[in-house]
Amino acid sequence: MEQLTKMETAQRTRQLPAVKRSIWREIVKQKYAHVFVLTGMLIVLVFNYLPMFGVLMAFKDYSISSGIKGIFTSDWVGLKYFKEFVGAYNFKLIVTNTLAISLLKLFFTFPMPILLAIMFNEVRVHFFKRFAQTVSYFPHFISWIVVSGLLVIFLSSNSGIVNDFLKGLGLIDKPLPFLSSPNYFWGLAVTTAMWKEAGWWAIIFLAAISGLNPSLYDAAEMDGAGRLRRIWHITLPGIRGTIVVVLILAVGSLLGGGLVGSNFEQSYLLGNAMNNERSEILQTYAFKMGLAQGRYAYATAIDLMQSIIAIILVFGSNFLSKKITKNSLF
Amino acid sequence: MSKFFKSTSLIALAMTLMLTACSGGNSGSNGNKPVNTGNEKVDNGSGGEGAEQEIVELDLFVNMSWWPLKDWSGKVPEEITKKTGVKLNIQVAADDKQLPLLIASGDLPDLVYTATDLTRMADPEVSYPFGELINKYAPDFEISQERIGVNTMPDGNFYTVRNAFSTEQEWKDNPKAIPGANGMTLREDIMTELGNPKLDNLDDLLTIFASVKEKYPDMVPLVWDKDQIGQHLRINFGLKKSKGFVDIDGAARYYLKDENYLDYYLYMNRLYREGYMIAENFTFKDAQQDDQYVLNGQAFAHGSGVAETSNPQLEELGKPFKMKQVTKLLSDKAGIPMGGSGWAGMYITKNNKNPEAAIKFLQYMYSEEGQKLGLYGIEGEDWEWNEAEKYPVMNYDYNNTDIQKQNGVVWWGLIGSSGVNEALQRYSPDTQATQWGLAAREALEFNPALGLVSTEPDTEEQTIEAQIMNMVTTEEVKIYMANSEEEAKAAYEALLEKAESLGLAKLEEWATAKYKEYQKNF
Repeated sequence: MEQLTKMETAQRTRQLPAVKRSIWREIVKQKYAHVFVLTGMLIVLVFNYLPMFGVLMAFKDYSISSGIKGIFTSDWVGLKYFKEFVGAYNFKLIVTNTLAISLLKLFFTFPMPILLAIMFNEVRVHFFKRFAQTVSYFPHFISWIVVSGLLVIFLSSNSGIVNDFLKGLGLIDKPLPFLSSPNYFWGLAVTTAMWKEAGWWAIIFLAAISGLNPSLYDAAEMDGAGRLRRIWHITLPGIRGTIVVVLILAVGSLLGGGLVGSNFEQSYLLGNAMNNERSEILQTYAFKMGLAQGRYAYATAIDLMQSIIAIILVFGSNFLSKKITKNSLF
Repeated sequence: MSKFFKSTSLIALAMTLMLTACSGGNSGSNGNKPVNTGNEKVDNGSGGEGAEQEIVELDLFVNMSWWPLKDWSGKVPEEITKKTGVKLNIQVAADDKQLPLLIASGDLPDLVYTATDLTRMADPEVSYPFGELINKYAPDFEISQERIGVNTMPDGNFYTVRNAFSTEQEWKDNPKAIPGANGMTLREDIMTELGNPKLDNLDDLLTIFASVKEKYPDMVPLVWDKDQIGQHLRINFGLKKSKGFVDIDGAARYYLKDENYLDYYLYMNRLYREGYMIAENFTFKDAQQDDQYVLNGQAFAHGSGVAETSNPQLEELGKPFKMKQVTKLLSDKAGIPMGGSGWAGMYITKNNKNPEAAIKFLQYMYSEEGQKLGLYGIEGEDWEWNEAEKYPVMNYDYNNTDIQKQNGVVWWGLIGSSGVNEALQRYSPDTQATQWGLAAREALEFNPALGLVSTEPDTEEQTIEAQIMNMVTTEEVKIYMANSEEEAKAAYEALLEKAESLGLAKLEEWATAKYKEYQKNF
């Protein structure tokens, strides 16, 4: 018995360098792939992890005149800036707007790419399918600054073609104040974000759909399942994993606008003194009251609060998804 | 396949390196600091071989994204370089967040010209105190005690001398000095059509708007420049804009507590309720949007319009109408509160590679000769001094932005100009803008001690003031857009209440103490 153990140990010692050698050989074999991975890791490290020490500012009496070293040398002030933000007269309004715009976007814009992907998948005319798909994802490449310029031209109360059109049809007497009334802002934010991004995200779901086994559809068709039945019983369950992963990602970036993002761009570019009570969100407030005035510590505190909420949302949605659908990100 | 991977990964690596290199270079001037050219020389005009001197290149960050001159070119900068031996490499700010970032990262260039973040720049860690450099390198550089006084910081040093400052006496001594007061223009053809109705007061203005509205229902009676909404009317009501304090019974009170502010708001509200101005004016993002209304003939009146600026453009577009300047004050309440200490200042940063050249350059720019060269151009060629009436007679259209850019004139003069020298430039006896300027001159109000009361960054007062200012931008619109006069009054009261809840009393207490302290110097 003892001899056997000794033999085994000897064998293992002989095997170890062999294993090491084979790992090294594997790495050499995949060297180009590893270069890609390392480059990616380097970028993440430099741009995502290294700047994180700046978070310290949120708890310090930091003045920009003290430069980068001031982040470490300035006095600690605890939660002073967090308290200042929570005590701001419009704190509730800002948080309400951020949450409302984000949730509305999640609610309305999340199902849209799925629907769109299913619709594209059902189109049998190949040319039309390609054309419609291109048209739907094209807006993704237009920057928000251009979109906001277009919106001003289209939706202006005085000279916008939308108001002219509605007036021409006799549907309205007075122009609708799309850009100047707070009541229109949330709707404007959701619909424009949906228009801009739904086609782009549909690509992911289309890819998932194309991975489904066509024989499932053939079998269902032979069993007499109609188009809707096939979508309900094959397509949707087939892409459930993708839906859950994308949903978790969307919830993680919920306060930035979720899947379609752009909360900041929309509020900054389409927000104005008139619709401020519906357009001011955490990010624009941090930008105006923090960055623009050189109060980096205050801006950091506001953004840090948002990040904490976002982390809670990711873990929360992942946990719920694991419980309910058995699918999760981690 | 292997080749493909090899080349792709090499490209990826190269891009990463470039990205890192770019981010380093963008962060300031350290990455590509220009060096003294050494072999480039200039004759400073004083004759003799020794007069030739090496050109010193300094980097200047102009913290105004709208600054029209993007480089140091044209005959005026060339002449300044001849006189000073300094050539500037210009970097104009992309936005108002860039300077704080440069301060925080320590990447400031040699010089910074700014009208904001002044107290952040006035920090011994960031900039050189002028006194120190003058003693060391330019003992003959003389600055008046008033100017030193208004620029001195709590640490006893002054880090800049701001332009646009002149004492009340200097204004009195220069009767042709025209303040840069926000004006208003009207459509000349429509006024003629309406029978040139009298325009002596603010009620007359309302009557004219009513006639325009009735006769031209599709026209916008009044459009404002997005950054100057209501400003011409504030002048007529004698009010401050956006920030500052007013003297009420000897105490410094927040500017919104001025007794005329409610009247101004109610007037603006009436303009909106009666359809004379549009809500969309508050949504303008582009500084040209109001100009477009005027140039397209969609607007009757232009808030902050200048006839001499609009009319050449209208002519170029072939429009059959012209704009006419309102050339008188429309109320006996009119007043233009003059700032206490000037507008923008040049700072010599601690990163400056040649502080001696920098302070000597500023010595020239602050001199009468330097100011006039920068503001007006070359004497005898671009302008001549009218000795009898004491103003420069320009040989070119100094309002023409193309000429300004071509010659590099007007703007660089602001580095060291006094308020009066800037104001004299505006005097041109035949223009409508001058007539308006002369009327506005009558409304100048001086209270330098009050003008000096200004909050310091990273202080409690500054936080309170910033929160109030942010609140006012939103709440003020509710007054303008109120559905009735009562509603407007209630919105004004609500605004003041909100300001109080944000700590206005504390701010005013601090401001009053400062005010009384400054009053001792005047």
